[in-house]
Amino acid sequence: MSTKTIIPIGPYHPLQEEPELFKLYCEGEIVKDIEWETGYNHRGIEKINESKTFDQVFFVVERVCGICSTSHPFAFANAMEEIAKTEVPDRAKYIRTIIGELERLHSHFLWVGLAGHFLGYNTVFMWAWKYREIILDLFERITGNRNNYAMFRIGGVRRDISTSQIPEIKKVLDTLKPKADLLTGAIMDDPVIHARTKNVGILTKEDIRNFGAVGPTARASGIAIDVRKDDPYAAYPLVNWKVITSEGCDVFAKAEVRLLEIYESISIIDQCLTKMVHLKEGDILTPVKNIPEGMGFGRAEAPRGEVFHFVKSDGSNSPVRHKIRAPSYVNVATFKKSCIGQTIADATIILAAVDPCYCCTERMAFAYDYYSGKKIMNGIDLIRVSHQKTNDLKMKM
Amino acid sequence: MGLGSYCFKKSLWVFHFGGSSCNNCDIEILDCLTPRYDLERFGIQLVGTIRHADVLLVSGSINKKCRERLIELYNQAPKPLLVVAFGACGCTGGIFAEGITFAGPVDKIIPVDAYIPGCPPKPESMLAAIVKLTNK
Amino acid sequence: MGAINYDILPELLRLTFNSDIRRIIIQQRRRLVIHIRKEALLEIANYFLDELSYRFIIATGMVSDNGFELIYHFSDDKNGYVINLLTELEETKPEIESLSNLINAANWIEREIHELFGIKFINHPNLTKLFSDGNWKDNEFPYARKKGQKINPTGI
Repeated sequence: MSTKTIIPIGPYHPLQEEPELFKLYCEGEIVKDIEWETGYNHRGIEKINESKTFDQVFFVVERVCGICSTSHPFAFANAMEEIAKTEVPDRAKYIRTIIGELERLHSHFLWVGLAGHFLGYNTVFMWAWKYREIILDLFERITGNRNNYAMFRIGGVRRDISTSQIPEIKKVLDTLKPKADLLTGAIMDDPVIHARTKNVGILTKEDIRNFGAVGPTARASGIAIDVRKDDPYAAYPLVNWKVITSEGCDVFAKAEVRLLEIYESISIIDQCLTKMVHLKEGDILTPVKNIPEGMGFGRAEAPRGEVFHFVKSDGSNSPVRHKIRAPSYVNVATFKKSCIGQTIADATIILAAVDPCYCCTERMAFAYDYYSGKKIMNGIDLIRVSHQKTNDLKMKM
Repeated sequence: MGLGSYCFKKSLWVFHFGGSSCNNCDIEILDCLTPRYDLERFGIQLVGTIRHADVLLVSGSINKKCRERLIELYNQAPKPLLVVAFGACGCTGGIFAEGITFAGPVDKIIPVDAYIPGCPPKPESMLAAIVKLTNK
Repeated sequence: MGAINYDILPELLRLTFNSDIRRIIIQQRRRLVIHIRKEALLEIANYFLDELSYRFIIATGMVSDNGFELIYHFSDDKNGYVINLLTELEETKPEIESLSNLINAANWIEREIHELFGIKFINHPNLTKLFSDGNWKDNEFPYARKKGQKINPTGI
């Protein structure tokens, strides 16, 4: 039994207003069907990009999603370098990898906090986000901003990490490992969390293939797909690391995969920093004068899965067509399978387990009666029901 | 002391509306509640319904679908209400102002009392804004 | 099927599908674009998904001087390839068989392309609005070609 004290400060709903994203149709306690309504976030980014130059597009795609802010420029840069047939200098590859992995770290810490919040462990939420601040400080030191780093450009990166900074960064990373141990222990060893998340929200291998799901959602069902290993880019083939999978297929497995990925990310960053010391400072760009006509298919592994960018260029300064596919687009559709047949109390944690972009998670579930169509619960109620279930389980144990 | 100043003498309760945002602002707002910045020590908390709120915090560029909700929310809110536009998107629409679904920055839809620029604004800006607002 | 040999795959596809395949463009480094007749989409996609165990990534709708173009992107995760099926549709009657009955992953993107371009996906189980409701009017297709816009067809 956990010895942490849980202080009921109350649910945090930064986006608690009407736009219901998911409608859960329930018969009694069980979710029978799920419908969704989208469109609240549509900003027409693909069209905006057609009137921007390639250099400007980096700033637009960074703001597609705040949490996966680096993965989109990463995939876009990969796509553009395919068209331009450019190879990025090694130092730039390491810097890109470091930024990508730091982003994975901050995103997974964020997710751990959210999962704790939905289950009723508000202390986990507070602590995970407190430790996340360490990573954001590191970002500020390297790139100048806590979010939206503007590090990428075609052919390299914008800013260098100077060799004198490397020991400091390594020291900060060392302080992060015990924090990760603390959170991993809190989540993986708690019997109430086991009871809440094991065998909940199961997605079989067949489901994953059918929905085309990617990222930790797929890896938690034993399907070892990871763009960094399958279609290597940047410095990932130059360092040693492994793809984390789990055969559990449930919410617990998804948590396990993310928590263990934190350690892999720390190791990758450490190796990149070590290897960078021997490379010439300042060699971070292969200049590209013109983008020829052609097509680029760029991919990157965001914290949530594969980000895919397709760019069609006609030799001018702007893309003719730019298609962006975020991982949540395919992962969120799996709710149709993983939520149905589960109880209302589990709905929020199942929805959160796929780690959709945070706004989608919060601004979402409303429960309706299956037969009458009447709204019976809103988002706050669903979270409250989830907290209630945790408390009931704690009493029993 | 006017009714407005009297109402805002004590702690502010904030209701957050996320328009079509990329969530960076939303995460920074949540960050303000976490141990490092800890807005709660000033008595500020996020509330789940507009009817309890003193401040309506709007982030994100507003697209056509969100616009109706925003107006509805503003009408439902008990007055006096302070409206704060958060982030570059809230203030002017940011880079998404050219999008096909853009429905005007927040101040074209509802009256705004304070603007917090930034992409995203740092939590320190949010604290400074709260202090300025309460002293207004 | 065992490990896929990409040196012989283009020949193998031509032998299997004959005139359904118009052109195979081999991009550098693990990217292939296969220009097909639109009538052959289901057969070839089925071959990719079942025989070759590809994963469906997404589909892209585009416009060109010849009308509409659709690219279906598939991923060969074992070898790191992105294999793309490119097909053209007429401007006046843009229709094609839906892939959603073959693989669920195509469901949402076909609805999205329908909203943005006006392309009709025949036999789609649920070709209703995904996100346009309230964002733009019915029968308005914001990404369709504007008058006078010149865009070269892709890869041809």
